[in-house]
Amino acid sequence: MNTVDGTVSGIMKSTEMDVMKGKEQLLNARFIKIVTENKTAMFRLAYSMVLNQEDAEDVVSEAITKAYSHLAELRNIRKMKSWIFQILVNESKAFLKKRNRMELVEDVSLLEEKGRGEEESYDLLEFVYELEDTFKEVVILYYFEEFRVKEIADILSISEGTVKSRLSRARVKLKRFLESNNNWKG
Amino acid sequence: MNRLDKKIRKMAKQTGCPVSNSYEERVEHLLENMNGENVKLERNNGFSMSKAGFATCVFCAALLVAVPVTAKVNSAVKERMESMSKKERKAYETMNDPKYLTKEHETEAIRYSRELSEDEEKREGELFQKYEEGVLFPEGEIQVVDKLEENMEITSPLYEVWNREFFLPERELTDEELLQMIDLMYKQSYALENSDEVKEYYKALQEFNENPNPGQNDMSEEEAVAKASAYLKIMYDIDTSEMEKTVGFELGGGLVDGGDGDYSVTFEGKDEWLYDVRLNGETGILTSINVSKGEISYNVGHGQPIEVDEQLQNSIYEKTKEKLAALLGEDIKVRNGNCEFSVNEDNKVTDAALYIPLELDNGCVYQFTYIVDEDRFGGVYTYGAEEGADLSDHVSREEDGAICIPMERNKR
Repeated sequence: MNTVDGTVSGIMKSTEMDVMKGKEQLLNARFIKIVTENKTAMFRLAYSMVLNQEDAEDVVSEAITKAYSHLAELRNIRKMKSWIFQILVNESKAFLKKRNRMELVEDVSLLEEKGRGEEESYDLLEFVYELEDTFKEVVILYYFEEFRVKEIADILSISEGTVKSRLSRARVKLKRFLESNNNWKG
Repeated sequence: MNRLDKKIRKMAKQTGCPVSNSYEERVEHLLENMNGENVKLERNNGFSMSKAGFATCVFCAALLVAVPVTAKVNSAVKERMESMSKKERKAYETMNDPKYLTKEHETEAIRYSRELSEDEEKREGELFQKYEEGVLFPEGEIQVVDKLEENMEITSPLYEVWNREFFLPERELTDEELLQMIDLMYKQSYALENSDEVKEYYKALQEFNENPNPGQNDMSEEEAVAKASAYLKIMYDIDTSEMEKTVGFELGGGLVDGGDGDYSVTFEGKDEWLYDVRLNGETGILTSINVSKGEISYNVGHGQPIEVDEQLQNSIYEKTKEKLAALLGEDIKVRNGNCEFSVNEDNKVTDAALYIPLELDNGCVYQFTYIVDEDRFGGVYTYGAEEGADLSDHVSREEDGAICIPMERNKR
């Protein structure tokens, strides 16, 4: 990749195409890095919403493809991760719309697989998967993926106030869950 | 963050999430295919839009996201929308006037006077689906008032145009009432999407994408790079000449007035430090600096809890003011300034970072992050002066349980 050298003459020499090419490569590299590092987190979020392993895998693949094809529209590179998660949430919701939820047979095989040696954590995730959709999303994004309230608001296209309110209601349920498992003394 | 949150996050961290080998392979395969071909960028240059125009579009986006009418509309719904008289459509369109746009509306189109109960939220979702499928519409219409009268008793839902808010009775809403609310939102979206203003916006956006040059009043890329380098030298004392640079030009976020948009100049060093400097295309005023190393963002702190006594707070605060004066290249008069941070049970700053917003006499607010454990500045954000706004509009950390110390008031 050609780069400008920082001097005015150096900058003058660098063509617009060089700069654009550099940005393309930067975007590409970041995209691949973020997806690689977050593929498990993406699966966890998609699974929490569609509650079926194969469907979650399909949704993630679709989201990755869609995000990549719209990468040029990303205005702020530092928001790439939350932008990818936003697309994932939208894809999951679109998928749920298509699927008749009444016919859903909950895939418990994955949950059963999980418990090995991680009794406490397994229970927490299982509990989260059973929460209502609105709580599940914010709990996964806040506690598991450690997004900030503002970022969650962007991802879910809701206000920060709504995120805080849902978190606060979810927190009550999580507290009760921890107490019932002797994991919490207030 | 409280003790319970920490406990849950700790448990979440310990959580494994088994994924199948086929999933891993599938993702890797997808990425391999992408690796060979870079995404093709289009230049987004020279799109001119007023602040009010930008506000309208933020508003449009929020509303259209809330009720996406464009997506394959059911024929019954389409018929219902198109059967609106011109007068009716104009009335709904007027409800979308940006004068009703407040800060809260930037991410949420319409407010509710109270939260919907779990059952109402569930029913609203189901009814919305039925509405979209064209199988269920309300029999009547929700009452719409321009401005709510004082002490008005709310016995059934009504919509206040001025505040863009649904006022709801305390009792549970009926399906018919929820449908009437959905109907209003749907009609508003339809009217908005078909308004001349939005059509003009999309036309202008298209022209903006096709035009490869920044506006006439904007500085050149070379000037923008030089300006961004100078900002980084002042802020972090770094030499950018050996760093990789990429330059973009984007529609401004409306943060600072002037020009057609913002330059985004990104510098990346071999040591993985990345500085993304955004500056106003016309004035060169700094809009933001985002700092990161690898995946770690230095716009927030990541260190271990650390003690920050009053003396250190004062010294960092004064250092921040000096930095701002240097960035602006002039003497500054700070009207208000905070030192914000979160503390743990031991009274230590949890993420080892101080957040310092400074409000100048001209109403502009500059927010700095200071990474205490590394004794360096993190990111910077600028907010242009807004009528009626003050420092408190830019302080959100207090709501998250952070401590906000007013530093200028302390001196008086």
